[in-house]
Amino acid sequence: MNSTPASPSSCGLEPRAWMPCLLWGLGAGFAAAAATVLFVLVQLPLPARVALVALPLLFCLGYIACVVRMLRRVDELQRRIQFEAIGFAFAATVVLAMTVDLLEHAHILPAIHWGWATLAGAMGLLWALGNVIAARRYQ
Amino acid sequence: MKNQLRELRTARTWSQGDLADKLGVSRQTVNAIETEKYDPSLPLAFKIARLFKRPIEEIFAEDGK
Repeated sequence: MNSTPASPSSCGLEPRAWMPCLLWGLGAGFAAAAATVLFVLVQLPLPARVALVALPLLFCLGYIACVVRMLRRVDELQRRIQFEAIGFAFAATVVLAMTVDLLEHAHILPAIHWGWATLAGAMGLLWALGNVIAARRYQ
Repeated sequence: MKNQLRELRTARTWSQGDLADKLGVSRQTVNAIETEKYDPSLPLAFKIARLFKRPIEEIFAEDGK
């Protein structure tokens, strides 16, 4: 039997369920941002560059393990809310990426290379928004 | 799906949190079932029936029946 989840927040999950995932995700983001800054500012030898690339990946592995563990521990309604939230985040990210790309090609937006990290951040924010929307349906 | 969960729970003077603890789910799940916004899985419905010592069909009924 699952352990008893405590009272949920407005996102459908108690903070102790999602907070570790947020911290791992933020750790990966900050490590990647710091590595990017160093790559721009300093000419580093190959081993140092490999180490700088590996550091955010360690946080990413922690993030993946944390998300999977969280999805396995939550109860059936919370799992459904997560399913809806992740589906929303996936679809909305596709739409957002396509829209920005089209606007850039149409010269309506300046052609900025947003990069994969921006896309990952947008997906994370849309997942959080999806959580709030999905949780409201069951309140 | 209609259900008698709230009536059964309040008859025992349990809070939603008490029932959630007994069922191993969150209070939000108990509330969503009681307000008929969420239909529980078959294993959870059996668990509820066992806890209240009632047949499932006495607790849960299809809409309009």
